[in-house]
Amino acid sequence: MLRASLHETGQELHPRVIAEGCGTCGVPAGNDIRALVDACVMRDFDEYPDARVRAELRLGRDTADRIVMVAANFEMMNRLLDAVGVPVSATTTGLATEMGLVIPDHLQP
Amino acid sequence: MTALLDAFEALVTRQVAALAAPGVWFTGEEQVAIAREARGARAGQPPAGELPAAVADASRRIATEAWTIRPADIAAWVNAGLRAEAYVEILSIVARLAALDTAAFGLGLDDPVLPEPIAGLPSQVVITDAAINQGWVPTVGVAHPVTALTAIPGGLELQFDVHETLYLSIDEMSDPVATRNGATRAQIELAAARTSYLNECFF
Repeated sequence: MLRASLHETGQELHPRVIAEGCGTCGVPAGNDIRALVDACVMRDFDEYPDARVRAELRLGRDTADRIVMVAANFEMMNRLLDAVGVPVSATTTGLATEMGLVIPDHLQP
Repeated sequence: MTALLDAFEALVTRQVAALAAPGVWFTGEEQVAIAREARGARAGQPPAGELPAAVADASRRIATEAWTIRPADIAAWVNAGLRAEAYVEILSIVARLAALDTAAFGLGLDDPVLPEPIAGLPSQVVITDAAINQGWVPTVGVAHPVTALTAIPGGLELQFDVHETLYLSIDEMSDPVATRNGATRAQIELAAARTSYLNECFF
């Protein structure tokens, strides 16, 4: 869906950047979003204030809040899927390869 | 207070109320203890000793390193006396709490206050349609994001209350140009993908 949504606006996705944490992944304000998500998911009290201010200046308060809430939702979803052993789909396997990741055996479809 | 923060506070109120009330396999007191154990694990604290070892261990693993859980772990907890459906209920509690706590942190709020438990017995209702189907625990239908909690009555509703408030509705999920509060679908999915990467989850 990340790729499809970018395609709708004529932009190109660079999946490896999402994992590597540097460079431009193709999503507008992507670096600010990534920094805010990192600070929230890792509960990084040192990085959060700066990441929050940067995201808010770039995106506005409500959009920054929504980004936080989306990350929070996936804190739930990630746990559900990992703890239940939901197999990874074939489409996800392809994206993982593009990101430079290897799907572990226990999650192979 | 913005409309978004109002929506989050209302979500917290609903979810905390569900935590306080007797569940399917745990009392309200046990559910609150599971939430406390999960938070303690996240903070690096040792087990509180309030719960049976299998319940505490499952709560802590889900809270801090869900990606390391394997079928053998679940089998060990079941062999120690934990029903598979009760494991699913622990998962429901800890996963939803992780969402609420992360959102609160990112919104500049304190962790939601855990409730005073409501007295009463668990319902112990068994979903007879639930069975192992490509996953590690019983689900109604194939193991999938929307069936993960279907072994417990009300599990899906509690999951989607969080999902729709924080992320997207089911209808919006199929729309590649959906926006929420100014966030484009691409920005929303970047936040999702980065979170999954940090959690070592391939979803």
